[in-house]
Amino acid sequence: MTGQDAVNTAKAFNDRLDFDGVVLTKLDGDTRGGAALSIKTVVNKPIKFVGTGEKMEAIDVFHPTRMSDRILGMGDVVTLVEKAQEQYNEEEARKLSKKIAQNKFDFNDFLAQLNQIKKMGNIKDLVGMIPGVGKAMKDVDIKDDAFKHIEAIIQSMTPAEREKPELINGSRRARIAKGSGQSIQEINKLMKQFEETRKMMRMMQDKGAMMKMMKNMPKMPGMK
Amino acid sequence: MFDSLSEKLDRAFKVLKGQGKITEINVAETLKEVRKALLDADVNYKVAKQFTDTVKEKALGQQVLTAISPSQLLVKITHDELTSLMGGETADIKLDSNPTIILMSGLQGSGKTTFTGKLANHLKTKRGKKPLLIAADVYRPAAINQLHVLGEQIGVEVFSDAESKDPISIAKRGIAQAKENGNTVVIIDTAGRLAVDEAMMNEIAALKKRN
Repeated sequence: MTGQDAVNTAKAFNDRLDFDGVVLTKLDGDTRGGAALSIKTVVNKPIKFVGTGEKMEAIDVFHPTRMSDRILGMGDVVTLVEKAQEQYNEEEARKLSKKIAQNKFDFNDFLAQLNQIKKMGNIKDLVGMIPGVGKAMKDVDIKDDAFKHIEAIIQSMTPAEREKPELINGSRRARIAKGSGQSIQEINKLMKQFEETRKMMRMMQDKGAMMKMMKNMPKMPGMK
Repeated sequence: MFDSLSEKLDRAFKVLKGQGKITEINVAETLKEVRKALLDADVNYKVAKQFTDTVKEKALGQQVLTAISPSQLLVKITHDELTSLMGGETADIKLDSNPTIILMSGLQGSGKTTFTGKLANHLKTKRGKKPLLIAADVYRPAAINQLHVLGEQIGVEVFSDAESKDPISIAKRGIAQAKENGNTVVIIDTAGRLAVDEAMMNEIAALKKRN
């Protein structure tokens, strides 16, 4: 049900019930968001929430300004930051930064980071909230399981390998490839990405090196 | 969710690229595209027309600062108007009465039961409320189960009575239980209904009035 239908229904319900507010559900599946724009004028009741998925967490308070930011392709940094904050755990962050300082960031941490991003919601939506990126990425298909093969690779490593990635030699790579159902090239790619992430993270802590890092940003994992 | 609308609006504003000032002609051209984009997104015709008229009026009356280009200015005006079209301010949910009673209503399959769960989860985790869900959908047998499963997932109590076929009495008893147990929010999940279904609409109107 889209646009006009939704508005007409809302009007009919409002005539009988005089409700307080509207909720837009299934906004993830519907590309035509016309209802959001017409409902206020026709029914004169505010939109309070939007539902954007099947999960119990897929609910957002409706902010008109942020919505117009998104419609006009300006991204929605405020929501992005809020989502990140929800997942942020101070103690874990402190532990992590200590590990990075000692160059002990390992695959377990890598996996934990991936999970945190995943918990923030649909990856395509998240990317769309970064100003300018949404437009650039609209033809790129980022699947929700973009991280799956990375997870599979990491989960095929032994605990020792996860803690000490240096251990991973040629024959171990072959085993990991078999275990995760990926090619050796994929394993090599991930190992390289991981090394770069490690390097970048150390540089982040060392402010002087920040500028250097900006120049050769490594590619984000999971994107082709 | 607004992919195609965003794209079309973007294209509309390109018309103004490179133009030194806002004139009646180039604004009219851009706004024609904007209106098309809105209509394609299934925005109500009257709303779209009114929207572009307001933008036009504001755009022509504006002093263009030398620092910003006309297309930027028009984007800004459009942004402001879109915001006010969607209500302007963020409308927060009212939760001051104790218990706050929320009645869900809507068509079949519009996601009421799922949203009931989501809302309860939101109120519980982010607002520190203690919700009680009432399963008042007596027509769809699975609805009560669905609500129980959702309630279990998010750790929220659910009141239901599979025996009763009277949503009003279920709701009444549910609210009584909420008051007893100190729940601060009550969300009533009702059966989906068409707005033209007179009997069902009477039922929900009565449900609203009685509680």
